[in-house]
Order: sequence, then C-alpha cells, then structure tokens
Amino acid sequence: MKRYFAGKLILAGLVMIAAAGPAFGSPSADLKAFQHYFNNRFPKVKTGDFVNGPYAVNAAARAQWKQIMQFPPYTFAVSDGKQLFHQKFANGKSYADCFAHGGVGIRQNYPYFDTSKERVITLEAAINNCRKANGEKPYPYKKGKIAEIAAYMAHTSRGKKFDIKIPDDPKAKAAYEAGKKFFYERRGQLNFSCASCHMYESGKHLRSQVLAPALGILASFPIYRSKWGALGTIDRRFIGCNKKVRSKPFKPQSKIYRDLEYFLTYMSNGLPVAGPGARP
Amino acid sequence: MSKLSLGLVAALLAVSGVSVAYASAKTEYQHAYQKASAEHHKALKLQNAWTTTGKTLKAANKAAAKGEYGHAKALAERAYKLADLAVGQAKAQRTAWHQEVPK
Repeated sequence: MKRYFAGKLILAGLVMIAAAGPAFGSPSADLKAFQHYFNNRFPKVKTGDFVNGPYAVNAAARAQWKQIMQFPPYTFAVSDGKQLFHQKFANGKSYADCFAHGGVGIRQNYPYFDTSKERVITLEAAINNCRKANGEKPYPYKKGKIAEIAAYMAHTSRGKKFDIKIPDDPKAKAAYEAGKKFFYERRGQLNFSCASCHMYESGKHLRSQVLAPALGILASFPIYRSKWGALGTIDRRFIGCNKKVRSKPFKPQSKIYRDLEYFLTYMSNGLPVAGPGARP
Repeated sequence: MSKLSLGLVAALLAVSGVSVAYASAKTEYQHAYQKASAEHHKALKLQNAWTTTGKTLKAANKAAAKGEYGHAKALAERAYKLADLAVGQAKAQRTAWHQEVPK
C-alpha cells in the first residue's frame, strides 16, 4: 500500500515538472536554449557579435554603422562621464570609493542580486546609491548625467565578458523568474511580448528599423540613439518599448524593470561588454 | 385657460423634461466612468494596464466637463472594453507565456 502511494506521489511530481516545462528550467538551461535559438536563427553571426544589435544581422545597417563609428556620437558623453566620475563629492569621497576596483572594468558584473537588500541592483542604481550614501542627490534615471557616468564605466569594461550570477537564494531566483516572465508575456493593446520582436521577428524590419536580437541587446547600454539625439539608459529603452505596444510603462528602476534587466543580462553571459553603443 | 397659459405650461414641461434627461445622461456617464475606472484599476493591479485605456478615460472626462454626456458615456464604455481586454490578457498570460520560451 505504502509503495502504491509512494509511486503515485512520484508520478504526481513528475507530471508537475513536465507541466512546468521549459518555463521553469534552470537559469543555465535557459541560457543554453536562448543562445542556441539565436545561433540557429543567425548561423553566420558569431555569438560575441550579437552585442552589436541590428548591425550584427543586417549588412546594410552594418555598413552605415561602420561609417558612424568613425566618429562615435557618444564620445563627448564618455568624456563628460569620466569627469563626473572622478569629481569629488562634498564630503571629499568619490564614486571610486563605492565600487570594487575603483569602479573601473566592472560593468560586466551588473546587475547583481543583493541578498542582504533582497533586490536586483543595476549599475545606475549603484551609482545613485553611491551618491545618496555620500550625501548627494540622486540623478534621474533615464538620461543625462547618470547615463554619462554609466557610459564611462561601460567604456572602461569593454571586451570583458558578462558574468551575471544567480545566487542560491529563493528571492534571487524569484527575481530572475519575474524578469523571464515579463520578457515572454504579451502585453499592451498590440499584444506583443519583448520576445515577439526581439526573438521571433529579430533581424526583420519594423518600418525602417531592423529589430535587434535579444541576445546581447543590453550589452551596449547606455546607448546614443539618433532618435533621442542623446544617451539613454536601459530604463529609457524599456519604457519606450512598452509604450510602443500601448502598454502602460513602469517607473524607471521599478522592480519589474530591474528583474527584466537581470534576466536579460544573464542571457548574455559570456558575451563582451560593448557599451556605450550607437543606435538609430 | 388662455392660449398663453397653455403655452407657458408646455414650455415649463419641456424644460423640466430636458433637464431630467440631462441629469439622467450625466448619471449614466458617471456610472459608465466608474465601471471603466474600476476595471482599469484591476488592470493596473495586474501590472498590465494599456495606455489607450487611460487616454480614453481622460477623453471621457474632458467630454463630460463640456457637458457632452452622451459622447462621454460612449468613451467611458470604450474604456471599459479596453480595460476588460487588458485584464483578460493578463489572466491568459499567466500560463500562455510559457509557450514563447525557446525549448
């Protein structure tokens, strides 16, 4: 009898696991499937090249981009960011005191899950946390000085490979899963998910623009967009994407956007930092 | 009763009829707006509100402020439909998103 019930329990467990399917795969299995999808979709593109977004998958756009990159439009922003980064706070300290390795060459480790604060910390949040800890006012998150500082920090990390960790902590896993769900769920009046455009239609045209593959999509942030005429952060981009599908966007650095960034950057593990980038 | 008195009575009845209809249109609009607003809040709570719902609710409010209650009510009803679809989408996506994950 006991055996019978034990057998039933095991069977029920197996059914539950099967029903959960790939959506509840481990982060490492997700990463493998995610990168495999893009390698199959674009067999001629080297994995590391996906950080160049639409330019990795469209020859015409790439040719144009190469010309633009002779004089990268973000150059002044990086230089301003460097100046801001090294400027002392009123208390005599600086950003370098808040970050590992003085804040140089560390972009590849962001975002990370802070187990003591039980939340995802993005690079921009860390910059503002540093400001607040030193008695300075935080910067607005979408553009401006925060984007310039992040651009400088990304620039010092170019080529280093993303190494986002999911600690063995249920809250970290929940944050990862929340980001993953947000990425795949359809939303807005147009009924699109992030994946609709950036996975299943990636490389195709949306009017005049080539849809960037989701693999490596955050590796070039912050980005200078010709449309913006300035640098913008990941928050700015997420908000823009949500609005485009007529979904009410969330506030910059809201939990859902931080979790989404966590999932999406984890999916780019092993790819090099390429920020700041230039996009149409 | 003189013709003048009859005319006055008829005019008074007509005016009161119009004002009753006007008040009723206002109430109907208010009811439709509250219903739409409540549904929009449901969508917001589910983190799945649509921008179009908010815009339509604002337009309804604006029309009502001008006293165009018929138009305002139609907009509020449209806002309700949008909010209701957003709530339905959020509920469906609780499991449907799994299908989008690459295997």
